[in-house]
Parts: sequence; structure tokens; C-alpha cells
Amino acid sequence: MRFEDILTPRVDKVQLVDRWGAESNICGTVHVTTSHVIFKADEGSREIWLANGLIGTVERGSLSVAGCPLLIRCKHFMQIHLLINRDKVCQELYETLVNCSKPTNIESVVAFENRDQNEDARGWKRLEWMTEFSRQGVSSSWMKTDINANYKSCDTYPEQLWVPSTARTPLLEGSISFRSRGRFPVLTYFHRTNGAAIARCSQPNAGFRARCVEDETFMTLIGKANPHQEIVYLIDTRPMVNAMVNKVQGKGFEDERNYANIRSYFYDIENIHVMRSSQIKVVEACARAKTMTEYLKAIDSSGWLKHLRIVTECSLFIADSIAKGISCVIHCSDGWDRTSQTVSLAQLLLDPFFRTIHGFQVLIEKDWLGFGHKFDDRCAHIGANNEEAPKEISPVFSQWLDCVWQVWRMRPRAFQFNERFLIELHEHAYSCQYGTFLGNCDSDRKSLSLSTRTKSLWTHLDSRRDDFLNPFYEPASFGYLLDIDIRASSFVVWSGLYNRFDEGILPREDIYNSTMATIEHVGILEAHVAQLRNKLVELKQQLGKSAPGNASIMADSGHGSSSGAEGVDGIQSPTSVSISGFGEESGYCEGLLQPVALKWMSERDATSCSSPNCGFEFTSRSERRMHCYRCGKIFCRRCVHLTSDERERVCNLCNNAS
Amino acid sequence: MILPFFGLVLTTVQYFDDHKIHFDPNSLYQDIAECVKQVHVTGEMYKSVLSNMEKYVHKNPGLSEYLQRNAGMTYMLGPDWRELFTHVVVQARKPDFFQGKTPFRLFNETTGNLHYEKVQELEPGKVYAGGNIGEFASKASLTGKGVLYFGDHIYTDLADPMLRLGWHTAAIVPELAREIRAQNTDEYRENVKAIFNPRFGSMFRTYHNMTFFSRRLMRLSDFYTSRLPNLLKYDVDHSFFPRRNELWSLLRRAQWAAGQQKIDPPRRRMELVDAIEIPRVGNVFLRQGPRREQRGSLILMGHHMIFAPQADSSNDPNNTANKEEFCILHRMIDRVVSEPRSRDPNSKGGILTLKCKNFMICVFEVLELDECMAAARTIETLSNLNGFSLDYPFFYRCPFTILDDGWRAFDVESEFARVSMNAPEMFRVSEVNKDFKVCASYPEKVIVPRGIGDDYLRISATFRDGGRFPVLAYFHRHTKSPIFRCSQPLIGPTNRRCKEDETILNALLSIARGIIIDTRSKVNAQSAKAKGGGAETQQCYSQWRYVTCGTPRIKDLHDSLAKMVDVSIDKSVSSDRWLSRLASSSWLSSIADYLNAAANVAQCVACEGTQEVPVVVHGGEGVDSTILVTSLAQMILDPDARTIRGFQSLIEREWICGGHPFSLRNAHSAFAEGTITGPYEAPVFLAFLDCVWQLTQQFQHSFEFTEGFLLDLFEHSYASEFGSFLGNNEMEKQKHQVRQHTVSLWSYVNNPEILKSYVNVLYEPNESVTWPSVAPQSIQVWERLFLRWQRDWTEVNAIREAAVQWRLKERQLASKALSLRRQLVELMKEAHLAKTLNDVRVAD
Repeated sequence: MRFEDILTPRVDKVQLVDRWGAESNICGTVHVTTSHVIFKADEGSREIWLANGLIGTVERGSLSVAGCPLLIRCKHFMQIHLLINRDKVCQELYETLVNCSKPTNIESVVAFENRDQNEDARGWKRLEWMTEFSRQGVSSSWMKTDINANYKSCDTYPEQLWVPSTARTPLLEGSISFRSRGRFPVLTYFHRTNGAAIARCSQPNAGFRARCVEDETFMTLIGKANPHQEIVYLIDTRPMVNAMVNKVQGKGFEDERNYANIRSYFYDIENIHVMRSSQIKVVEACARAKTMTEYLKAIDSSGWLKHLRIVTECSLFIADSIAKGISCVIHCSDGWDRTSQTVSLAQLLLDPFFRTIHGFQVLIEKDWLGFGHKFDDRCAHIGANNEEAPKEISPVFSQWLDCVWQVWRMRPRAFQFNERFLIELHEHAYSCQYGTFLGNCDSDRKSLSLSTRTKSLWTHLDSRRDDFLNPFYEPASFGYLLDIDIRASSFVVWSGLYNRFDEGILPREDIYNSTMATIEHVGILEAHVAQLRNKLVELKQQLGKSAPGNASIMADSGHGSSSGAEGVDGIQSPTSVSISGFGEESGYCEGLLQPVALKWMSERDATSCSSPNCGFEFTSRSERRMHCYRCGKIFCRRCVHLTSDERERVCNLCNNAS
Repeated sequence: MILPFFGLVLTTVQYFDDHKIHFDPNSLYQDIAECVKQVHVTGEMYKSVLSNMEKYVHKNPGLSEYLQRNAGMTYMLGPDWRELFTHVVVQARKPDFFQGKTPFRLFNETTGNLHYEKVQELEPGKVYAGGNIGEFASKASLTGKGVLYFGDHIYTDLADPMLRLGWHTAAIVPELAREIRAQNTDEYRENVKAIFNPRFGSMFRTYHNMTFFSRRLMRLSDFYTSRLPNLLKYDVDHSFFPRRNELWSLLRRAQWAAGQQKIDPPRRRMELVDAIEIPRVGNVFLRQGPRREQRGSLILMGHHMIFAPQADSSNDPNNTANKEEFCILHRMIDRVVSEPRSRDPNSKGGILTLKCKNFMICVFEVLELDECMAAARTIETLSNLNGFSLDYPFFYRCPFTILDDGWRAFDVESEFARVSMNAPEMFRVSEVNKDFKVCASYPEKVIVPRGIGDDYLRISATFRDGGRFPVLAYFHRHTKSPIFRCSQPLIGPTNRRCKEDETILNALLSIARGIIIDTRSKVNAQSAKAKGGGAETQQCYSQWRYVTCGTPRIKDLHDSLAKMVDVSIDKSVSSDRWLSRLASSSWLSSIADYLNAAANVAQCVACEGTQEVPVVVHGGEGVDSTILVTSLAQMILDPDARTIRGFQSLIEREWICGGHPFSLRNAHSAFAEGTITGPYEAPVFLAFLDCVWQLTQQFQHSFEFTEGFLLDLFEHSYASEFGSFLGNNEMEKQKHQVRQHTVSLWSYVNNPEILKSYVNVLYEPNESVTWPSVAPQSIQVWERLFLRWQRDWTEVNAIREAAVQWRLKERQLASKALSLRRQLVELMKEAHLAKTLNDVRVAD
């Protein structure tokens, strides 16, 4: 985003319209910068920050008495309705925003300006292929091959690939030539317990008659790499009809008769175009539907939940087969959309590692970024240069996150991360603020040298790891998640994502956030109690009544007020103390200990930051509320910071007070 | 009389046989029949009977007593037997009386002759001769179901009155007494059965089938007894519950040995016992139900059935939870289906499916189809008893000590005290409805506007449907706005008006205009006018704004629940159909409608302007959606209602005392279709619970009770061991002495041990109004209700439990820290007194 493209960096007297009509319009100013579009209210603290990459479409309405309406639809499902007084200003803002939303070159997105010099490179090393495969415990029947060094065999694959160790180079070359775009079957997951493996590829150039002996042999070798079962399930995620159509174009699917050891299965996962229009409908339903019946019918006709279910069903089948010890080879057409979805979801069901925050990132790095899901094209990071581009857009990754969320919802204790993590990932897959999701494949990213020019999303997420922890995670309790219920009734609309910015619609009180806060508070209280005990022992020793007193403190007998303090009035009497107020903290031993809030403010009442000179209004339910350890009130991220010893999080007020 | 006749035939045949006389059986029979007819017609028999009264006529002690009481006559018992009868007809010549057209003739008692004039009407006290039943019925105006006809001959006596006149019939079978006494002797059981076959013996059944005799008896009589005075043992207004194909006996059969019976058979229990055709079905296989698949036996009892799993040789300790027996109240069963296991006529097994009102489905495989059918009939009878005087709550013995009697916990006076604290001069308690004279569905005491006298209320009651005049439902103390509820005004097609009713409503107004919220849609409210109902007009109630918010009609609600349950129990429901069927069930949209209406009411009360805005809510009868909307509005507005105690009080006050007809509405649930259900069933209370659940989902920390509490309330409202939900209103409760003879649900719930399990530990009192989101995106399927038996809930429970544990730990630590702080302060003071403060002060 170049500065010259911004025609109007600032527009005054813009009205923000509440789309539910419940509140009156808010007057404010729109600032357009190279990274964000910012709305700031003239009065009050309302602010909206919108990363330029998230601007989806901008629509202009016709001029009316109230002004000229401008609707910004964002890729993370925020909708901003603005009213601008003058038609000309509106037009300029419109053009500016359109420019912002469609950079002509991938190198002009925000991510390339977002890099601070002292970025540590750990984020860019989330996936080391060697490390990951040795973690999986790949046996000697699979080996690394350098056939794709410098991306010479397949430009959408990573450089390092794992194939059966019995396969020789000519065989691989034969298979490469027989597969669409050279995406031949390679290992992505090895199941240590029984030696079964998941391999992924693209469709073969089979047509109606073509055969490739090398490819057939290669498939046999994949079967033989499994010590227990030579049969390989070949899963074509497309509907049979689609696969037949591809046959006409000289592609299609493997003929079971030519391959000695395969069983073919078809799953009716629709193509990217169907998914695109399906998501448009479901988002529309979530944003528009007024009555219950209308809503349910709209969701039904979008078919979104049905698609989610089929993707999950297919993944479950893969996972189930692997658990039974049968290797699977999965492909769709090019092997980077539906294949990525099902293969990665199946691994999520199989391997508890991928359900941790770190493991999930590895999974995305491996099966989405590594094996070439086209994020640039699918998420429309850059504007349309040709007519084909809009047809390439499809919410394949969002859909997969939705599937993960559905599984997460069924077995929440199996995941280390929470819903906010998935929502954050969804946002940043589109936002272009970080380099992670830029580029269409591994070689793209290398040639853009993203790792030196941009910041990794993972680094950002690492710095906020606390935000994404699931309070109910039980690492040891869950192995395979093969018993999930995939009946239609188990799949629901993810309103946390689609209605993320509709405050009123989401539940006001959420058990995940409150429990997370409780756990944090428990930790602080434990430390505090220990501190108090030490202090008590210390004091008693100084007063020369150590031994017996010590025991009584440890036993927590509610130490009577009989200890000779009756003479002093009105400082502290047991009845005047309650643990419900915020005010009683100052009453005890000032200067002796750091104050600690015994009671934390409930998230229920926290619609804005408690700091009087901030008053920032939280824009969504999923936004993290931060408690100050000392006063127990809720603040926004900007108004609290860690103390220098990193043991406390305090608000500015408490910090100044001490 | 058929038995004496055959006695005669037998004796004659015996005589001929003994004396070696040859005869043609056919001719002999005809001769005997002719003879018998002759002695009756010529009166020879009566002569010989009269000459030896002692021998032939047995005195019937008790009969006069019975007749006198039953007829309710005011006469004293006189020597003249005729005073006990209204009409006396002699020489009726049965069976001609039933079939012929013989006219009545007046009998002159002084002359002993018959009058020749045409008898125009039957006068009491006179004696008539001849006649026919048709004429008798019309002249004595004995028509239809109100007549009980006693007769001692099934064919000639009972058939015609029953079939032609539709009278109820009762058979007097004097032989029964002796027969049954004989049959119950061990000698008979052992010897006679041994002579014939093991299935021989009973007059009523052969194995599980009815005998020809009992079939006829059932077909033509509503009940039977050996002698009339048996009825002395029953109340005058006692109800008998007849059913086709049932072995219905007023005679106590041998009580079956019930080793596992936990409750003693108390009074009036025998009717239930009689309905049990088969007390135990052994060796059944539980195919589907609340436990895993296993063998066991089914024990049928008066009020519930028990599935007892077979003792397992492998005593797996992990499986104990799954091996426990379970018990289902008959009342909980909505529908019983029994069918052969397969179409193959040779297979003997049957499948018994029980569909419960809490949407659970139990499927049992029974080895013998006969047993399966018998069990199905038994359960069906016992789950469909009319009325509730035989219901379980009356027999339930409270196993715990009642610390806090739920029947006394909530009353109008204390509620009024609560209200009047905030509004001292606005309301009063009226006893206008004492003895339920004004409104059958209201309690005896109601809260009404202070300035309104009882006479006004009485007049207003005549103008409101069912007499439900406006009464206070809730008073919002922050805005001083009351919510009143009533039923629709009886405007009717002629546009009636009632000044007194208008005065009552206007007495609520102070500054602002009031709002009348009609829970019906505009169209329904308008069309009610033709049936005598309607809605307040702008002319008569000019200071009120009339608003409609269309909530579904109760019949539609019933249908939508049926559809909703149908789709949620369907295991095979695929993606394509689930959502569309969910949409077409329209259960969720009904819930959204109710929430919307309640939110509207709450908004009027809490927000509309600053002055007090009285709100009057009514629907049609004012007992369904009206109560739902007012009580839901209170859940939104009132922090007290969100506590367990407050919620109980709300249900007791608004629903139970407020006159929601639980017995009618909850007689059946989602599985009842067609003829089983009538127009009165509707899951209104369930809809209320669902709405409350939606609120709890949106405000997980604002409600003191858990989801489990709502689910248990749902089950108890359909079938319960407690009396809280019995009856349709307070009047019925009082009539059946429910409060005296049953235990209140709240007594159980408020037991500290039980209460613990219902408390939401995550609750933090929330003083503000919990404005719900009524957007369709926020309304969810209550999965724990509808998918309760389809899904595994360990995950949800574990999450909840973990959250609870953390919360408890937080509280514990906070209070520990507090007590430590106090100690510290004390010590500091001590140190200060010792002038050692300077040494103690240590930087942290």
C-alpha cells in the first residue's frame, strides 16, 4: 500500500450507523493510513481499527437527506455502515478504500512494513520438516528425497519430501509426470503405533485409458511401506461426477484394475466455487435474517453445515482407517484444497500433538503452507488482475477452521487452544499484517524472502499465548477423537465467527473466559496467601511468640481478635470486612505487601476499559479482558502492562500509586 | 336366568339317564323351554313362590340403605318399600319390555285393575304395568350417559339399554360371590386344575385371554358386582375407570405377592392392582433405554414399572452404574406400542416400545407376544387414568424429613408484603374469590389495585373470560410499574363494554398511558370476537395503548413440539433434512416469539419513559401464553426470580396458583398423536422452561440454578411423586386435598442435600435487567433436552465441573487471604502498641 494511493487520509463528520438500529448514530472521523482504516468518535471512546487487508468489498449507496451511505464489508465479517455528508467526499473515500483493499502487488501489503528490526526468527522456524517427521517417528521404510531441490520437479511442493525408501528416482520421475502439476504422492503423516501413513497427491493424468507403470508401482511401494497391511485406501474427496468430468480433460482418477493394492473411495466434497457461494449465503443469513424460520431456511439453503459435515466425515474415515492400520492416499483435483482440509483434520483427530497451540501451527505450516494451499488466490490478498482471479477466491481455509471448531465444540477438553485462537487465525489469514499467510506456495514465500522482510504471525501469537489457552484442556485424557458424533444435529453455525462483531447476539457471559480469569486469579491468590503466611510468621517471631503462633497460623484457625487489640477502635472489625467490595484493599498493612485484589471484576459488566482516560470500548466478545492484579478491574490491553519483574500485570493507576 | 335353566336341563337329563329312558335331546330341550315359559306366564311359579317366601326370596340387607343414599331421597326409611323408588313398573314382561311396543297402563291399587286410559306421563308414586323401555326412557326423561342401569341378565337385561339407549349398565352377578370364594380355595386350584388343565379355572380368563363370559360381560356392562350393596364401600362421587378389554372387577382379587414392593398398598389402590394383567415379564431384553443393552425382567406395579437387570455372573465393578435397575412412572409414559417381533406368524416374540414424556424411548424385546401385549395394555391403562385422585403423589411416602414445607413456603401474603414494601399505597389483598366463587382458576386471595372494591372485581369477572379479572403479577420497584394479567374481555360481536372493568384498569394509571399487551396475533384477537371474546377497544380504554405480539396458539405449540421431538430422536437424520425439519417444526421460532413478547413487556416496564407505566398482559383464556409471558418478563426484570428460591416462588405463584391447567396441558406430550390427545394438551410450561434456558445460556453467571434444575422441573411437571403440578388450579387442589395428602416438590428441592445439586456455583448475583437477545442467531436448540438420550454428556459435565472447581478454589483462597489479612492487621496493631513498628516495617 503506497501512500500516494490514499486520496483522502482523513474524513471528518462521518456518522457510524448501528446496523441493528438500536443505537443512535455516532459522529466521528475516518483516518486512512497505509496499514489501517480507523474510525474515531468525536465524543466518547468508540474506535474501530480495521486492517486494510480485511476490507472485503465497499459499496456506495445513493445520496439521501441523511448523507451518502458507504458500506464496508470485511473479510472477518465486520460490517461498517457509514454516512458521509458530501457526495464528493464519499466518492473519494470510496476510491481510497477500494485502493486499500486491492493492492496490485503482493509486496505492497502491510506485512512488508510491519517488521521491526529486532524480530526474533523463531516464528519463521515453526516447522522444520526433519524435526516434525522424526517427532512422528517415521520408520526406515520412508526416506527423505531431494528430487524437488530448488523446486525443480514440483513448484508447489516443499523442497524436502518423504517417499517410500524403496522408491528410486526414475520411479518418482515417472509418477511426477503422471500427476497433475507434478504433485505426486508424498508422506505427510506417519502413524507411529501401527506404521500406517497418510500420503497426499493430486489427481492422475489418467483420462480414459492412460496408465503409468511407475505410478502404479509407486502406489504398491506405499502399500509395502506399511508393515501390516499392503492395501491402500485411495480417497478421492470429489464427488464421483466431478471426477468423471475431469476424465474428459485427460485427468480423473485411478482405475482400480490397474493398481494392484488400492481401494477407491469417493467423498462428495464440493469444489471451491460451491463453497464460495455457500459461505456467502451463510454469512448473509447470519447478518440479515430477521425471523427464526427465515434464518433456519437460509442456513439450510446455504448448505454450509452440510459441507462441514462431509469434510468432517471424510476426515473421520481417513483417521479411522489409519487407526486400523491401513495407509491412505488422498487427492482431489490439484490436491491443495479439499486434500489439505481432510488430511489435516484427520491428523487433528489422530494425534494429540496437533491439538496443542504449537502443534496446530505446525499442522498449518505443514499441510496448508508447506504443501501449497494458494492463500494469495483463495483469500484475495491482492486485487484482481484478470477475470480468473475472482473465481480463485474461496473460503477453503475458513471452512477448515470451522470444521476444527465443530470438533473442538464436541471435545473441548482435547484442545489446548480456545475459540479465540481459531478466530484470530481466521482474521490473520486475511489481514496481511503478517507474512505467514502470504504467497501461494513454499517457493513463492522463499522468493519473496518473507522470513527476513515480514513478521511471522506465530511470533505475534506467541506473545499473546495467554489469550489462547483453553482452561479445560486435559492433555492426558484424549488420544484419538474417533468417537465424535457426525450427525447433522451436531453441526451448528459458528456465530462466534460470523456474528463476531454483533455484541447483542452472542452470549453475554462466557464460561471459557470467566474460568480462564478464575484460574489466573487462583494463581495470584495462592502466591498472595503464601506471602501473607510468611509475613505473619515473620511478624510473630519479631513479637517473640513464634512457636505456638506459627502452628495456629498454618492451621488457619480464624485467629481471634482476642490478642490484646481491643484498645484500638474502628480500624478493622470483622463485620465491616466483606470480600465483595473493591474498596477494602487499602485497609490492611499498607506498604507491607503489594495490594492484591481478592475479588475480580466480573466480565459481565466489562464493556469498556476501566481506565478513566481510556474508556476503550471492546469491539467484540472475543476480545480479551485483562484484569489488573492489584485493583481487580478490567482494562484493555493498552492500559495494563507487566511489572518489571514480569510477575504482575497492573494498570497504570495502580502502577502510579505504588 | 340361564344358569337355573341349564340346571333344570341337566337335572332332567340326569333323571332320564338314571332311569334309562331314551330321549331325543332336541325335543327334550324344546319341551323344557316350553315348560319354563309356561310357569312364568301363567303365574304358577309366582304362586308357589308367594306360598313359601322364606325359601325362595332372600332378604337383601343393605339394598334399601343403598338406594336411599344413592338416590339422595329426602324420605325417611319407611316400612313401605315403594317409597324408595320413583317409578314402579310391574308386569313388564321382559324381554318384550325391551323389544316390543306395549303401552303403559296405570294400575289401580284399590281395585287391582288396569286403567284403559292412555298414560300420558309417568307420575311418581303410581304403579304402572306393561310398557316398553323406549317409552319409559322418554317419559321418565332418562336419556344418555347419565343413567346407570342395573340388570342381572347379560343378554336380555343389559344389551338393549346399552345398545339402544346408550345407558351405562351394571351387571349384578350374584353367582360371583360363591364362585370366587370357591375358586380362591386351594382345593379348587389344585384339584380342579389337575382334573382339567392348568389353564382351566377362572371364570374370567384362560391364561392371558378373556373367557367368553368375561368378554360378554365387558362388552355389555360397564361394571359388575355380585350384589348392589357392595357399592356402599365407595363414595357417592367415586369414579370408576372402565376400559375396553380390561379385567375390571370390583372384587378384590388375591393381592399378588410383591416382594420388591417398596410402597405399601394403601387405600383405593385395588383398582390399580386390578388393571395389572401381568405383574412381571421375565426375560426381556432391553434394546434401547437409559441403560446399555441387557437382559432383565420387567415388573409392573400400580404407579410405576421397574426394569431389573439380570444378575450378571461377571461382576464387573465398572459396570455397576449400568446394571442398576431403573424405574419409570406410568404417568411418564406417553405412548405404548407393542408389536410382533417379525411378520413371520410363527415367531412368538414381541417388541414393547415405551415412549416417554421426557422424550426417552425404551425398547424391550419380550419372548412371548401375549405377555408383551398384556404388559402394553396394563401400562397403557395405568398411564392414562382419568383424573388424578389415584396418582402417585397420593401414595408417595416422603422418605426425608421435611424441613421447609413447600406448600407453605410461598403465599400471597408474603408476596404482598414484598410488593407493598415498595409501593405502600397501591395494592391490597382481596378475598373476593373465597371458595372460588368468582373465578375457578384463581387462588382465593389475589392482589388487586387498592381503590377497587370487591363488587367491582365481581362484575369485572363476568366480563373476562373464565372470570379472570386483572390481578397483579409483578411490580418493578425501580420504575414503580406493575404488570397485571387477566384474560380476554368478553366484548363479543355485539361490542359489549364493562365500566367496572375499565375503572379497574384506569385505577392503575397515574401519569403515563398504560399498555395492554395481547399475546395473540392481531388476526386471532379479532377472530375471537365472533366467539364472544375480543380485545380492548380504543374507545373504551382510551388511556391505554393496545399492542399485540403474536405468540403461537397452544395447539400449534403442541404440534411443533411433536415435530421437534420427531426430528431430534431421528437417528438417521441427514444434513439435508435436519435444518429444514428444524425450521418446519417451528419450535425455535415459537421460543423466539415468546422471548420477544416477554422482552417487549419488560421493555415497557423498565424503559418506557421514566414514569410508571402499568402493563396489562392477556391472551385468550389467560392461563397459557399470558402466564408464560408475564413470568418470563419477571425472569428478565427481577434479580430475585433468578435465584432458586425466587424461581420456585415464581412458578408456584404464577403457574400453579395462577391457574395454568397442568393436568390438562401435560396429560400427554410429544409422542401422543391422533385420538390419544385432545385439544387441551400443550407444552406451554416446557416452552417457558426452554425460554428460561435460552436466558441462562446468554447469561451463564446470572442464574442461581443449573440446567439440571430446569430439566427436573420439566419431568416433574409431567409425572412426579410430588403433588405440586397436580390439578388444573387451586380449586381442584383443594377439592382433592392435594396440599394435605401429598408432598410439595419444593419440600424436596429445598432439602439442603438436594438443593446442593441444583445450585449453579458460577452464579454471581446480577442486579441489572438481563436483556436477552431475541435474534434468531442467538436462539439455540436446547440440546440437553431434545438430544438428551442421543448424546454423550460426559464432556459437557466435565467442563462444567472443572469450572465449578476453579471457582470454588478461588473463593476458598480469597476468604483464606482475607482471614490472614485480618490476623496480620491484628498483629500490626499489637506491634504498633509495642512501639516496634519501625522495626517491623519491611519493604516488600
